[in-house]
Amino acid sequence: MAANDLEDMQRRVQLLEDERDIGDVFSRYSHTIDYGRQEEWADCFTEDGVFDVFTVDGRKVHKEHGRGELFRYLGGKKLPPQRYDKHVLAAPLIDVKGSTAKAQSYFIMFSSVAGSAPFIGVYGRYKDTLVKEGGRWYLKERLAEVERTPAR
Amino acid sequence: MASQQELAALQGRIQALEDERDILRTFYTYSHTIDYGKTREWSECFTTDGVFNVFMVDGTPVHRENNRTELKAYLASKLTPPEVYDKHILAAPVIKITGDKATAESFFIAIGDAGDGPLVFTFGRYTDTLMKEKGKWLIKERKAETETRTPGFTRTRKGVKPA
Repeated sequence: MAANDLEDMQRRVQLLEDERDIGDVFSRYSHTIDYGRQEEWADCFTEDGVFDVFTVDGRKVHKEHGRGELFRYLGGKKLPPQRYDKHVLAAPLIDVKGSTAKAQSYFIMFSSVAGSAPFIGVYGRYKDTLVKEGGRWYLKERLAEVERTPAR
Repeated sequence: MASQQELAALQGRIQALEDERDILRTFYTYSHTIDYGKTREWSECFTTDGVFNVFMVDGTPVHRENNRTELKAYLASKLTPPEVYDKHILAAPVIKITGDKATAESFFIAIGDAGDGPLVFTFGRYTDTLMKEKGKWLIKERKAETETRTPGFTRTRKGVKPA
């Protein structure tokens, strides 16, 4: 194999690995938020990462800036066994450019509160900016646009 | 020219990507086969001695199958299309591969219809161990920790003792 061919293949494999690794960040985000693993959840973001949640008509729900605020935000949430949530991310469209990436995806949150039957809590869209630092991908900013909230 | 070492490194990275893709394929095959009552194909998502262990989050056992024969009998006892249409959705898989063995943790959400329109009837967490046998990834053990389910919702055929 010529050196040029090898470099081309390495680039293609790197791109597939980057997309896979970003998918892993999304999965770890869901597991850690849903089981209240504060430190691991905050660690899905960069040190100065932003989590900005707002409704589709532009009303602020909450916004955290930096791992310290993210850690405290999750510490204030109801968690298992009082409440079970499942943050499901679907239809990710990921565009990697070197050490930065943009992603757009759907989120659907399934919930059960105080032993209730399961229901769909909220759903909407994530718009993410990610960066690769030290070989690892992090969320630099997650915009969570909430389109529907429960009637209950 | 590329060195043998560079090529071997690249092959290893491609193998890892293929293994993860193949494990996801097993998970998706599991969903399609359980939801359409394909008993043999579903049981073959597991090793011959594969275990499917379903329990509530408080530890209460729901049902447990210990090999492909028991897995086939379990699925045969369930209502399937065209009587009912369900969707087992697996999400947020975190897969760790070591050679021919792997572990995975993921969410499951099941959607169905009890006669009043579609609803989410259960969700929880899968904890899996998998093995690669003859080039195919199979579930050695699937623990399904059920965190919630709709009361009274059942897929067990009439005359069959509920699991």
